[in-house]
Amino acid sequence: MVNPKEMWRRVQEGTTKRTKKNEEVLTSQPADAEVQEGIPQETQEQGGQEGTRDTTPTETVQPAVESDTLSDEQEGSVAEQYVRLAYDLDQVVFDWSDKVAHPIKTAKQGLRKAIDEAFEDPKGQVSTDELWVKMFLLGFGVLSSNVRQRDIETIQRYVAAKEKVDEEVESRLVALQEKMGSDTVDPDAVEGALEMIAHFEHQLLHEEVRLRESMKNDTRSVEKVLEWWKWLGDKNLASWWFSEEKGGKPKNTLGGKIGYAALRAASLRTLLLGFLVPVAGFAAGGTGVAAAFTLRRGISTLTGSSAGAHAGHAFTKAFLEKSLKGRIDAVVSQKTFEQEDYEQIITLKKEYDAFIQQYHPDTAEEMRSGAEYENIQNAYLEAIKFFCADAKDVENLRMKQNLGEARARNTVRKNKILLFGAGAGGALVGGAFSAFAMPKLFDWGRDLVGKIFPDSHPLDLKNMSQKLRNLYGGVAPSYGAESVPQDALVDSQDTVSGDAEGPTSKEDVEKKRTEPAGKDTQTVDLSDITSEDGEKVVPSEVVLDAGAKERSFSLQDTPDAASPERVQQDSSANDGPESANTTADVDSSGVEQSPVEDSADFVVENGFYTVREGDSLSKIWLEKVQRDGGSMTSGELAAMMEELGNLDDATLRDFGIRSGTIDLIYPDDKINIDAIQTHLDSSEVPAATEKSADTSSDWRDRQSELDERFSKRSVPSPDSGVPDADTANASADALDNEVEAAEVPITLTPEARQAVLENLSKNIPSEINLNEMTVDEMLGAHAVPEHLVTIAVAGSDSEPLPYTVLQKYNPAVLEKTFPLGSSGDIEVAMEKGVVMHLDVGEVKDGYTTSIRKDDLDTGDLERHLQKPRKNKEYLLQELHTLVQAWSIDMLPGDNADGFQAAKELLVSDLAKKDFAGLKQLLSTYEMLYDGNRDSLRFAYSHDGDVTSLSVDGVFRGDTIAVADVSFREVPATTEKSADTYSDWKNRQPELDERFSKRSVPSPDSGMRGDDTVDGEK
Amino acid sequence: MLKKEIKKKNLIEILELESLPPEAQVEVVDSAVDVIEMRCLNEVLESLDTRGKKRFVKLMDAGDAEEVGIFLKDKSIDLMQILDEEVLRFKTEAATAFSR
Repeated sequence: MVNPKEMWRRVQEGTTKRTKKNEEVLTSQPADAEVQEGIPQETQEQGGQEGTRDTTPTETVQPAVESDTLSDEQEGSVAEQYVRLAYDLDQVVFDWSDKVAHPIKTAKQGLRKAIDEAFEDPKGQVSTDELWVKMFLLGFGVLSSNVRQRDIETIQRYVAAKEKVDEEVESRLVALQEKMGSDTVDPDAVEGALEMIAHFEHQLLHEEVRLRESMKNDTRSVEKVLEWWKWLGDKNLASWWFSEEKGGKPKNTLGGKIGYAALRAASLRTLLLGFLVPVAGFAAGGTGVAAAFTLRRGISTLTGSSAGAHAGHAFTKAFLEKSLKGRIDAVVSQKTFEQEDYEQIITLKKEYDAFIQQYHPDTAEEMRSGAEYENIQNAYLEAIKFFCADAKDVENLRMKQNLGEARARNTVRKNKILLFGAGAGGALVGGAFSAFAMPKLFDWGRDLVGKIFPDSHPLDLKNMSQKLRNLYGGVAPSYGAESVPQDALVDSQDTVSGDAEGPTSKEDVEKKRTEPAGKDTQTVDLSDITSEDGEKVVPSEVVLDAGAKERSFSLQDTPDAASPERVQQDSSANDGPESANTTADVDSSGVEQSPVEDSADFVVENGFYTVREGDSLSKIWLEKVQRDGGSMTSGELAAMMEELGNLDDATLRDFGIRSGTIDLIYPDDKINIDAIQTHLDSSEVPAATEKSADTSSDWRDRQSELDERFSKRSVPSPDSGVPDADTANASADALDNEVEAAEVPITLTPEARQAVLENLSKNIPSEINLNEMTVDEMLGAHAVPEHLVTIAVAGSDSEPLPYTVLQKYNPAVLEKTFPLGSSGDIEVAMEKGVVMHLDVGEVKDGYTTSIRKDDLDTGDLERHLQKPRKNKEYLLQELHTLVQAWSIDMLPGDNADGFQAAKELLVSDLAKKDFAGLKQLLSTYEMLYDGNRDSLRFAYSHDGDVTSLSVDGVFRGDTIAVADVSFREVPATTEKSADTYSDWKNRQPELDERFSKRSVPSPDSGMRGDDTVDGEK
Repeated sequence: MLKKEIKKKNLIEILELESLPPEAQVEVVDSAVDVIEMRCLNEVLESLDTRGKKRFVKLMDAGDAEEVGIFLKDKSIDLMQILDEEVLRFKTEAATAFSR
C-alpha cells in the first residue's frame, strides 16, 4: 500500500521544490503548452489500466497498478503521476502548502486564458480588470456608444470559453476523484483537496460583504466598480455571480444572473436600473433595484423586504442609508445578512486557523498576514459590522417607538416616503414604475440584453415586457437600441439625465432627444442626491404605496422650484405598439385606475380560469375585476400580488400556480380564481414589518390629505387596522404634541459615548448589579401584567432563530415573546412582563438551559411550549432540569462545595416536589450565602401556595452564570399581578426580614439608584 | 465563553481581531458603540414618561452633558450603569455570535 504521507512528501517535493527528477517530469508533459492554448486537454484513459487514467499521456507516464503493494519505483511513478496530474490541473489540488492560493492562481490563469482568447488578446495586453469592467459596463449599457457587434460576439465567445474551462476543470476533478478512489491512493487526501476547493468557494462570501461595504461607502465611482471587479477577476469569482445563485435566486436563469449583477451595477447608480428591474424578472432584488431607481428621483424610500431578496435587501439597505444619509427614515429589511452567512464566515475563519495551526504551525504567523487570510478576516470583519448594523436597526425602530413615532412621522412627511411593498409586490410596482418613467431604457435594455443573450432567457424578456404592458397600461413602447437617447444614459461623471415623466411614444422620445435639458428633462446631479441637505434634493412627491390593500398607487405631480422633476403617468401613454388593447386610465388626481385589457374573453369555468399566452396573474386578476364590474388600483393589485407572493408553494399550487412563483404561469394552467378570491377575502394585510415603522402611522398621518386628494376613493375599512381619518388625525396631533420634531437623531453625550468606548476597549471594572436584588424584587419593582405567560429568549442565538421558531411552534402560547440579548437581560424581560425566562444558550459555555438550541431542531421546543400555562409541575421540572445541568465548574472558589451540596439537595427536593423541603433549602441557602454577597442565591416566595418560584442564577464575584428561571402563578381573576409594585411594597417587611443585611431599592429608583447599590455594597 | 471571561476581555479580544490593523479595530468598536449608544438611549427613554422623554430628547439634542446629567440624576437614572450593562450585553452577544 502506498504510504500516503510519504507520497505527499514526494508530491510536494515535486510541486514545490521542483527537484531535478520532477523537472524532468514536468518538462515532459504539456501543461505549459496547454495553458497557452486555452482549454485544458481532455483526460485520457491509459491503455490496459482499468480505472486508472492520466490526463497527460506522455512517455514518462507509468501506469498505475492495481496491486495493493507498490515497489519504490512504482511509488515513484505514482508520485510522478500525481505531480503531472497536479500540473495538469494547474496545481489545483495537490499543493497542500498553498491550498488556497493555488486554486486562485489556477482559476486566474484559466480566466485570463479565456479572456485573452475571447478578446483576441493572446498577449494579454489588455488587463483582466479592464476587460471585466468593459464587459460589465458594456453589459449594462454604460458604454452604449461603444456597443458593437464585435463586442457582443466577444462576450459570447468569452462566456462560451469560460464555460468550457469550467466544465473541463470539473471533469478533471471528477476523473481525479475516480482515480483517487482506487486502492492505490489516499482517498482522504483527495477528499480533502476537493473540500478545499469547496472551501475556497466560501470566500465568495467575502466578495459579498465586500460589495456591501463598497456600496455603503461610496459607490458612485467607476473606480469602485473597477476595484470590485478587479477582485472578482483576480479570484475568478466573477463568473460565479453569473452562474450560481444564492439566497433564493432563480437558478440558472439569465434574468436571475443579470438581475444579480444588476444589483451590483447599482454602484453606478445608473438610470439603466430602470430596465434592469424587469430584466431581472420579478425575482430577488427587485425591490432593491426599484428602490434604487427611486433614489434617482431623489425620493426617500422605505422598503419592506421579504424573503428571496438577499442581495437586494443588502443593497437596498446599504444604498439607501448612504444615499439618503440623514434623511432616510428607515429601511426595514427582513434579513440583510443571513445567519448562515455568519456561520459560514466564522467557520471559514476557524477552519483556516485550524488548518494553519495543524499543517503550518511554524509559518502560522506569516500565513495569517497573507492576502488570503486577510480576505477571510475581512469577511469576518464585515460580518461583524453587519451584525452591528442589524442590531442598530432594531434599536432604531425601538427608538422610534419610544419617541411615539412623532419624530419619525415628521421625517416621513418631510421626505415624502415612497413605500414599496415587499417582495414580489414591490418588484412589480417598482418594475412598473421604472417602466413608466423609463420606457425607452427598458426597451433598449431589453433589446440589448436580447442581442447579447439571444436564446437563453427562460423568463423571456419580451414576455416580461409584455407583462408589464399588460399590467400597467402599455406605457412601455418598444424601441431598438439605436433609439436610445444618449441623454438618458449615465455619463462618466455619474450625472444622469432623469426624465421623470418619460416619453410615451417614439415621437416623444425623439422630441426629447432634441430638446434642451431643463425644460422637460432635468439633469440630476448625484452629488445633490447624496447630500445630507434634505431640502435640496426632494424633488417631487410620489406616493407609490403597495403595502396594503387599502393603499393607493398614485403619482402626484408636485412641482417644486428647487426640484422640478415630475413623476407622472401620462394618460396618453398607451400608444406603444404592443399595447393596442390596453387602457391606462388616470384620473385628475393622478390615481391610476386599473389598466386592463378587454375582458370580453375572460372566462371562468367552475372557478377556474385557463391561462392564455401572454397572461400574467396580475393581468388575469385585473380582467376578473373588470368582468365583475369593479376596479382596482395598482397599489391594490400590488398588495394582492404581495399577499400571494408570500404564500407557500403548496398553497399556490392549490391556486393552480405550479411554479411557486406567482409571476410564472403557463398557458393552459388552470388558475383557481375562486380559491384566490376566498383567500384574499380572508387575509389580512401581511407582514408586520411593512406596517410597523411607517406604514400605518404614515397612512394615518396622511389620511386627511389622501382623503382630500382621493375623494372618490374608499377609505380603509374599520377592521383594516387603519383608523379613520378623525381618529388618525387626532392621534397624529397628539403624537406631534408629545415629542417635538427634531432633525437630528439624539445621541449620547460625548462623555457617555467615551465611556462606552472605554468600556469596550478596556476591561470593565464595574459590577453588574443584577445580582443585587432578587427576582422578586425585580418583579416587585415593576408592574407585571397579570395575564401573561411570556417567554423571553435570551442569548444572541435567539435572534432570530429561536424567536422565529417560538412563534412558529406555538404562537398561541406566546402572548409575547421577546428576543433578548443575554441572560443579563432579565431585567428587560421583567419589565416586559416576563413570567418565564428561558435562556437559550450552549451547554459548553455553562449556560445550560432548559431549552437548548438543539431542541429547536429536534422538536423538543414544541413539547416545551405546548405545556399548559402556569403549570407548576412543568416549571418545577424545568427548574429541575436546569439545576441538574449546572456545573460545579461555574463556581470556582470556596463556596463550590457548598454549592454542590445545595445543588444536590435542590435537585432532590425538586424531584420529590418537596415544597417544604425546597423552601427550607432555599431559606437555608439564603442564610448561608446571601450575606456573603458573592454567592449563589435562590429566591423563593411562599404565600400559602407557590405563587412565585424564582431561581435567579449563580453569582459569584463578577460572574453571572446559569440561566434565570422564575415562575409566577398569578390568580387569573385579579386585576393585577400578585407581585405588582404595590404588592411588592406590601411585602417589604417580609423582604426586609429575609434580606436583613440588604437594602431594598427605592420604588422610584428604577432599580439602579446609586444609593441602593452603594448601600448594598 | 463565560461571562466572567467576557467581562475581562475587550471587544477586540472577544472577536479575536487582535491581528487587525488598528484602524479596522477602531471601526469595529465604533460600530459597536453605535449599537450600544442606541440601546442606552432606548433604555433611558423607556424608563421615562412622555414628558420625560420629551425633555430628555431636547436635552440630548442640545448636547448639554451637564444638563443631561442633572436630568438623569433627578430621574434616578444611572446612565453609566446602563452603559456598563449594555456594553456587557453587547460583548456577550458578540461572543455568542462569533465564537461558534
